[in-house]
Amino acid sequence: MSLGLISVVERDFVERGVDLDLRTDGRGRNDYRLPRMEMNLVAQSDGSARCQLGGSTDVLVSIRCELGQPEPTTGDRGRLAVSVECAPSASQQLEGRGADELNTELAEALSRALTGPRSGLNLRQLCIVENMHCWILNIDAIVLDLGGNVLDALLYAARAALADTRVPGTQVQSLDEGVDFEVDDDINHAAWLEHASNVPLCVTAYKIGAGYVLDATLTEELCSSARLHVSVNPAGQVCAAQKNGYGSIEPSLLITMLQAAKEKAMYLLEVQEEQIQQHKRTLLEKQTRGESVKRPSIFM
Amino acid sequence: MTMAETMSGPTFVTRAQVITSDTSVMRGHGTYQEDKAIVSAVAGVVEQVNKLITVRPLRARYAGEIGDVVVGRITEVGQRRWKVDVNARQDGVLLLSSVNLPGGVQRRKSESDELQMRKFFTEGDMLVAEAQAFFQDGAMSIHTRSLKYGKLRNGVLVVVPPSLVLRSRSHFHTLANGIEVIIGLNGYIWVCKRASKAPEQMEPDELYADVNEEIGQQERDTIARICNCLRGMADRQISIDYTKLAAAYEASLGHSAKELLQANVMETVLDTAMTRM
Amino acid sequence: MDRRRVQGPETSVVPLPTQEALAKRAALPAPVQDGKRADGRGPEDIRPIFLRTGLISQASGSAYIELGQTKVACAVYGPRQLKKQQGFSEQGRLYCEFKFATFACKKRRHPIRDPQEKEFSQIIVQALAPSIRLDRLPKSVIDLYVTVIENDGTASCLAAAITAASVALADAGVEMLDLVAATSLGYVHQQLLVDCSAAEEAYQQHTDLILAYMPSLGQVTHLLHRGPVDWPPMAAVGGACCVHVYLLLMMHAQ
Repeated sequence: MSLGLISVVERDFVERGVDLDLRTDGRGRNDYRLPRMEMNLVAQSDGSARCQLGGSTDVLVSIRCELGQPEPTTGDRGRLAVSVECAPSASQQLEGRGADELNTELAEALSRALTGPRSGLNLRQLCIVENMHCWILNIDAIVLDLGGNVLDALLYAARAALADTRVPGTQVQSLDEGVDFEVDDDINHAAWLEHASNVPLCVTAYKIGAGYVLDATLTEELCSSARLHVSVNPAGQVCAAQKNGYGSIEPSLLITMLQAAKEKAMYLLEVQEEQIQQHKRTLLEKQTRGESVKRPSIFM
Repeated sequence: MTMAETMSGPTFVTRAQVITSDTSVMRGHGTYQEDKAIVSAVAGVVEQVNKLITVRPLRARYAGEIGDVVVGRITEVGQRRWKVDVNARQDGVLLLSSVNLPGGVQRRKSESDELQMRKFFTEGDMLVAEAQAFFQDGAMSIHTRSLKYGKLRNGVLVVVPPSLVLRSRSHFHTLANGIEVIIGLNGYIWVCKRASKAPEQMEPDELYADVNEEIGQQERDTIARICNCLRGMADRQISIDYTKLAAAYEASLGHSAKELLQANVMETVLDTAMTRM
Repeated sequence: MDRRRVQGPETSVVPLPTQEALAKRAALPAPVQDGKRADGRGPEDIRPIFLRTGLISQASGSAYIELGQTKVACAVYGPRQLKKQQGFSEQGRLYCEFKFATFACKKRRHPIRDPQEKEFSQIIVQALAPSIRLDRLPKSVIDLYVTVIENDGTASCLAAAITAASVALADAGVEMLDLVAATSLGYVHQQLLVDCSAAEEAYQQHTDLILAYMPSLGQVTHLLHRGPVDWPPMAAVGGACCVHVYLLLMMHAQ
């Protein structure tokens, strides 16, 4: 398929559809397709999740705890390190170095939402020995399929992966010359990440013509002149907002978009919380029955 | 015992499977010869015409035939020609001499036409055309020298696997509410509101205008419904032609266009449609 | 000896900060005392702006801006013909390279652009593209180079860079719809601070917002914000500050 190309009349068709609040797939401007989410997929990770949006976008987020040193200014906390990689297989437009710019953009946006002030996580939990050793949470995302609205999917999966993450236990011993610690390998002694439910979700509003849509398809993404990524935490606070794209937005529309995205994010937070609880319940049931919790394939 | 001898109904073969060791038959597309046997090179359906054995692949890029109706998108404007994405291995070629220009069919193409080729088709424009010939390298040459063909407006594109599209007598259909569906054999399907003016009555400039007509709420709803039906059929590997699409459309009327996005709703709609056929 | 390898020990430990340093950090004074900030400004005042155009002789247009200790130089080259292999484009393209000088920040910057600098480049393009009549420049490209000579507040650097780049584009005679004025805001200890310095950014729980605005057209061209805050007051103050910067630009233009 010829990527990134769209005719004048197709664009006009989409724009006028947005004006009428009837999009090309029959949805209204605020309709959000239900994200599909799965957790605990990657055995090597301390936490992982996958999210599919609108049947085509597909992302996988893995979280691994790694020993490291804290930043000198925040010695009593651990750190997050975020990376995003669009797999070259995800879309033809990513061939060669085409993905570099997109990777930077997504990684920075994701880390802004997750590592920003009061993003919710208790980073003190990740401290092992103050000013010396801490856990670094490596949040690595890969985009498996690029079908529009990637950042929403990334944060959706990242939030679920954080809820799935367990930090290995450590035992600190005081020795004569300083302190030392041992890492406990037993998964049952690992602690769930605290306050993972405070992490925000992102909803992107795409400006098309003089209106906006949420949960855009690839075609709609092509038609949009600007977009607004809004991250909202369960307390209803906007944790991060970012405009993107080469167009401009009137202040009144900006506020409308922000409000719509915020409301949708609050709704999605509830939906996801339910999905996470559901996952944990089934996991527990399987464990009590003594069944294997591992699945034959992550695509099943 | 070979497959060709027992053939009754469609026979499926996979790669490297011996189709026949009969030396009197000829090998066609999708097969190769090993010793005396004819072996399949693709996974697909065996077809035999007289002595010629071919295998039609189940999933492959579009390989056209002369006379096919295709829907394409302009990707490049070149010297006296446009490159057109037709979902094939190579971009199709639309020569400036193969289009109808404003001012009559018999008009000669002048140099001034060459200079303003972007006035007719520019990058990204959609068009419907007919496969005219094939170049040596396998690229398809297409033409729009009939008022049936030309620039597409007033609608949206749906992409389905080309192997699902069935060849039929006509590929231009009007469904309901004046909504037209152009089923390109290359898997590109254009769903639009039928132009209120027949191309014969259009002013010369209107043939290549980039302006949509006014499209009402109800027409948009129908377009959305048809698009969702097409996507649902493609997802479930249901072959696509007018009758099946019409049946799916009829069956979908009990739901709103938006509801069709849910997998289970689509499933029941298509089940009813296919049992009714 | 293999010189391509790092010869140091495999693990190293950050030196423990001295007791005094810890004590000093704990005792960071409140950002605003008696309605005044450390440098004597009120919470909603921006630092005095120094702005000059045409300092770089080789460039088609250039601008230099100072906001307190923040110093940013910006040069525009073009519009010029797009290279053949970059393909045809109906619209002009804008390309930006944003770089902190290696000595600009407290920590030494690597000469190669890091992800943050790459992202800032993209942000500048996104903030300026709506103001430029790119439709009038088919097959052309405008190159924009921004160098931060000194960083006194990262958010203020980005805002200054956007403002300066817009002025540099105007200096280069590029057709534009409006000038883009940008400003940065911070939120420290529930207190709204405009145009934060590096010292103010060092407070924990620092939140910031960068707003780029075309006042005559009433269009927001960029918005970058992190940290949970109340939106309306911040947006209002941000808008007002952008207008303020814009008026300064207009005065400069005259």
